[in-house]
Amino acid sequence: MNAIARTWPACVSALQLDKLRMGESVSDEVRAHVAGCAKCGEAMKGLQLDEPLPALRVVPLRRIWPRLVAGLSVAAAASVLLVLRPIDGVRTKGESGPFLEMYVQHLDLVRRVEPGEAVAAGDAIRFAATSRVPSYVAVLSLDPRGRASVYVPVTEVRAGRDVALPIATRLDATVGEERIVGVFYGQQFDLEPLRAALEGGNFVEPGGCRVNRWSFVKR
Amino acid sequence: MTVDVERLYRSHGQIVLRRARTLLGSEPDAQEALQEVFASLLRAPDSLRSASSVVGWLYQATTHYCLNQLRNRRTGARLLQVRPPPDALAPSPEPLAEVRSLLSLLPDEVAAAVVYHHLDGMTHAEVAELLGCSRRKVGYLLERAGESLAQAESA
Repeated sequence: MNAIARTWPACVSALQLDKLRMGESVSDEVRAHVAGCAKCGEAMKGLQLDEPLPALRVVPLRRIWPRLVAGLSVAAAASVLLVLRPIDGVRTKGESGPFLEMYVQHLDLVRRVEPGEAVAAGDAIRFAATSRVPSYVAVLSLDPRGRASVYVPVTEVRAGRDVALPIATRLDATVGEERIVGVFYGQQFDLEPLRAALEGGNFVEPGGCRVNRWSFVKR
Repeated sequence: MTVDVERLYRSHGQIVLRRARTLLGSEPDAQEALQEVFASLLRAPDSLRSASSVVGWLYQATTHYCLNQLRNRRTGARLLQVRPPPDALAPSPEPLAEVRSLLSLLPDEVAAAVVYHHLDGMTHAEVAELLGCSRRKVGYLLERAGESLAQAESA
């Protein structure tokens, strides 16, 4: 247990000091102690991060996609178009398997992202699933630095066309080609091994899953 | 009550980032944790509405996320049959690197108790409140952590 000895340097816990800093309620005893204790005062100063935070990448849905419903209707009407550029072939909406589409909001404009299309850092993206049967879907991304992340965790979606997935994601500033992997499965599944495999370059389509792959370019 | 997540992110995001840096020891991973903790709030705002303290909720959510990440590093390394990154699991000059390695071996609740008590300096009563258990159970969890880590160190 040597490695995990108590390392906190003050008398009052970090939680109490953070509560005090953020104006939450703490006991009078804690407040009085911190006011007169140099060690706790120093520790409280050390909790403050004086640096700007990056933009919140996941965007509250009430703020964006005000026109998504209308946009989705237009997209559905234009369904003869090729909607994905799979890396291992071509998938069209006429196929029976489930598939994803990606929408992007740039400033106030929401549009569907066509294969290989360029998007900008700071744009918000969102996915919509089309499937004949209820299923579970997740979306992974492999960014230009080779880092895999979860854009949409495993989410149950109803059968239907262009069912919007619940999470929108703000793109970060890393430019280059970003690969997207959408995974459909008939039941809940563990996404982390797939994310790790994607990052490790060992991603193999799991048995029983339908996988959509495509890419877009971030500039 | 409506949770204004963007506002909360601006006012309290630094708590999550600071904590994630300490627990994960990696700037990209800490930035990811920052985004994920607030994304979880968008997915399930009720979890915060029922909490008695915003700061306490952020401590819990960040700790839970980071401990999962530490375990995932270990699991991912095993699944892919590669050696884990040296800064992630092996002892290094950075004092907390060994702690992270040890935390990844412990069950979630035990590891959380260790973080709250040893790294954050919380009393058993504070840990009990965050974990939603009795002080007696906190004592048991810390004792269990000690035993597990002693075994790991002697193995």
